[in-house]
Amino acid sequence: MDFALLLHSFGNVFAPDVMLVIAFGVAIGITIGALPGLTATMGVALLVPLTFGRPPLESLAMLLGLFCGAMYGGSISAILVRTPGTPAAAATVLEGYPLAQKGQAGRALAMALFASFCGGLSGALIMTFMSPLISTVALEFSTVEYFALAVFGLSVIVSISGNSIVKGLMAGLFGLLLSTVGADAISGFPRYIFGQMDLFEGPPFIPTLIGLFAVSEVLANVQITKQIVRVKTVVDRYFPSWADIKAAWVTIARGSVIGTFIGAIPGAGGDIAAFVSYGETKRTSKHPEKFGTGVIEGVAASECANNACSGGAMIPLLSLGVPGDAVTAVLLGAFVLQGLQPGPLLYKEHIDVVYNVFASLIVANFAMLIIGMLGIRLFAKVIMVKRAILMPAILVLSIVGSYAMRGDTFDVYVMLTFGVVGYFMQKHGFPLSPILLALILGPMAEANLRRSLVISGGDFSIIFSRPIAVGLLILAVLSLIASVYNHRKIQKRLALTDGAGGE
Amino acid sequence: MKRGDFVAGAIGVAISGGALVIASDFPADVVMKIGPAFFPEMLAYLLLLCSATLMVNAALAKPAVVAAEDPPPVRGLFLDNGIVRAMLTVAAVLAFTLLLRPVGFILTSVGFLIAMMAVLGMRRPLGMFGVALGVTAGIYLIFEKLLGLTLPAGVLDSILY
Amino acid sequence: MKRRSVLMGLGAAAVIAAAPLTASAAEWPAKPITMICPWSAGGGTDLLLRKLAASLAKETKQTVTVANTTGGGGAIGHAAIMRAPADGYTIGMITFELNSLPPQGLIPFTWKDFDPIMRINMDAPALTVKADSPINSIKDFTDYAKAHPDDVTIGNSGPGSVWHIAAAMMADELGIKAKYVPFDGAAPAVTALVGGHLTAVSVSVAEVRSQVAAGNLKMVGVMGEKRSDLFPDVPTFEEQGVKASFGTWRGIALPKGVPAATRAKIVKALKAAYDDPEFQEFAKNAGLSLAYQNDKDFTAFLDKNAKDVHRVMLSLGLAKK
Repeated sequence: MDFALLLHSFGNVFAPDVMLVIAFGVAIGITIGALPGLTATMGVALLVPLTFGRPPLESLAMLLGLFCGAMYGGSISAILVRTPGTPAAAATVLEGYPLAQKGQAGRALAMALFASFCGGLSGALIMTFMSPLISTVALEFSTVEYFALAVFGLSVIVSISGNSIVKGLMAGLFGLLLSTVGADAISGFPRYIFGQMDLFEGPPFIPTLIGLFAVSEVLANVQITKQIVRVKTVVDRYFPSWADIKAAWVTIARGSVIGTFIGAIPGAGGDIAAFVSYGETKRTSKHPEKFGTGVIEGVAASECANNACSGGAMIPLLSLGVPGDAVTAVLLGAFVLQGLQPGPLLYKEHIDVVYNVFASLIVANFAMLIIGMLGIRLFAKVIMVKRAILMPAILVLSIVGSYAMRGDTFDVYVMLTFGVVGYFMQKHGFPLSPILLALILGPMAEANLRRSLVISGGDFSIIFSRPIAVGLLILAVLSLIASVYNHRKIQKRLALTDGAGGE
Repeated sequence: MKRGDFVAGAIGVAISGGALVIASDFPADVVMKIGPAFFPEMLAYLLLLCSATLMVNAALAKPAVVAAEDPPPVRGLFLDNGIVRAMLTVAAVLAFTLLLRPVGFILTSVGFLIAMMAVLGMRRPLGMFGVALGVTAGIYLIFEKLLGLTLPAGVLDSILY
Repeated sequence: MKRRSVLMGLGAAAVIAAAPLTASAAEWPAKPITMICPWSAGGGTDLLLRKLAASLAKETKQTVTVANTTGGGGAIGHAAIMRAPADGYTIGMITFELNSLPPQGLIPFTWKDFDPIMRINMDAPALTVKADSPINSIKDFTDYAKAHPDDVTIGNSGPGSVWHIAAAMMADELGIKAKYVPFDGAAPAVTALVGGHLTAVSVSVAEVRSQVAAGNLKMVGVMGEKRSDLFPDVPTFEEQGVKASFGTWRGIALPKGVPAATRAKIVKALKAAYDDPEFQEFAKNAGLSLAYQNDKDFTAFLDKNAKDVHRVMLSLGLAKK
């Protein structure tokens, strides 16, 4: 660690024009993140051409700002209108939206921002000081470890199952089955596509996400015919209260570590990190029965983990030249366009660039905090918008967000179908998040298991041949047992408090 | 007997059954032992198990305490009926999707927004038009101009540029 | 007053209505051009096309938009290009998959249903191994594979993908047995190789270049007609006595039936866009090997390529017929 150089890099980043592009990147990022259908990956990808021909520091600083902003931005729509702006914010819906419904949108937004900032900063700091160490661990991940990691991630399903484990499992299995639709990742054989070439690459993920969460909610919402008593939303803060911070600091610390680590593993990103962090927080909480009704730690858990991911994902990119998640895969392209090759060579020949990236990401997190605080009042206004305007506007955004990625109306039909499916599932007490988690982790589990078997020539013992994988699988089993035990406890407490225990 | 859960379980059974039938036609893989059918079949059996459990539980359960249903529609005006509103919403999204390509994004979106606002009970034509135009313009600018993602121009093709 | 404005309105409406008609009759390009990309926004093909579109816009002084019509492993986008109106205002980018999808029975059309305009780039795969591996030449690799017939794993970018076919072609030519491990794109395959979980990968030079430059991986041979501009000291397969040459390509095509006069203008404008220094520099930085061919050569190339691909896929068991 060369502190003189780091200091010098901060000097570079504090130049007015660099600060300006960081602020620009963060602002665009927050917007893109908040809009359903536009993910951090897509935002970065679409703005890469803008950076062509600009100096490296400016270009990279802007893209890093965008990355940061988008990771946070997803929480805004998740909290206010129950639509995760990015897949990484799907876990934020679980506690954020109930809080908003209780009139505490301001509190949730402030915590989301604060947790995003803490997570993002921790990720950036861990990246700055521990990159080489972490990247060696990341490289140990072979197909077997990825399979084990996916299984561990899936064990979170019990934690996000709501009141009925059977229904949660059904939702999860339904999601896993859905994830097998499309060309098989190993043999290429098209499964369950019913002659629809549009399904060849599986059910389109973003439209499915938008349908399940946004459209289903709109369908439920438009049915409210009586004059709703407007929930009074107080937005009087830019910063979480001391009590909230005290309640959430352990969660934030844990989420930062989980997020950075999962981010550093190539191929696993913010969506998985957020769910794992949420599941762990619920499992270790003293009052797990309150989860799902608007627990502030829940918001902190997912938001801090997904932002920590951005720093984590940069680790293997910078030190190995291997992107840690989808966004950094696009960033890799941006580096290359600048004539820079991330990896050990970058450390050798352009160590100044590496330190500039460290400094930019740290500064970008502060920029995100400031711009986010300035914006909170504005964002929260969304919830005050008349229902008759807000619902149609959400629908148009959902349709366009589903359509634009592939320019295909098929995706809009998929969105609508899952909107209806999600509506009915919700109505009958089936949780929706397990479907999402299954869609993310299902392909990872199946493809990597079968890839391992291709390598071993069909010998299943390969799964138990590697220590990290065995460790993760044991962890998955333990987490599963603990969650089931926890669930029993929750049911008992709920039965004590309000008799019936809900649906 | 909880009817909702029983039906949900039956749907689960149907889905897993269908998945199993289709998977039986997937090609086998001799080299790796598990081929394209392995995962779907395993998942379908598990879903079958869970669905059956849900159905049995539902059948054995005492008739659920009648949950606080949405109050029945009071007034006669059909738009005030929640279910009708939801169905109109689905129909409007369908119409949007069908018209998106031929008519173009801008006109479809403005029309859709006005129609939906009317369904949801807004009655000020000028305000509705203004809001619809504003929302559409905002979305158009972000997608087309900032991000360079093309939205169908439709009938406005020749004057938009 | 009122009547006048109504009349004016009608007049304007008539002009608008007539515009599409006059547009096709007038000099191309009289209105904005759409370029269809069969791959998603932000990918390598998309970036390349967006850059070419920008140069074409400069050249033609018209708006050129890129529409990503993706899905079905490229099938949807290629179909959209084929079915687009043949007025010269919809231009498509076609890629290698146009030749690998038909043998699998996944699309009912072939390259013959398009009007090829130009080839843009052609990227060869390289047999790449870990930098600390004892394998230094194609011969070393063959010897290693024959000594360890059950242990050779070659990573590629997906089942039936261009690099899967490349690996099979390679193994066929070398007379060795290998396990083809498909990943979800080239990047994870390269990562797995860096981590030491595979014997080799058979993806393009551009996709391994950063790891090779960083000293994590080394290329054993380039499976192209000539050496790569990026790594001129890596010999080709042919130089090492193995007759195998393969590669992925991207090009521009029109739907069939564009009027000859318009078509000639498009050909000229696209060539000028291709020659734009900005586009050239972009392609160089992105590590793509530009390999221009005019419409005639490109057509002949497509014909040969389609036959080669079909043959290999048949021997791999990937082709249906």
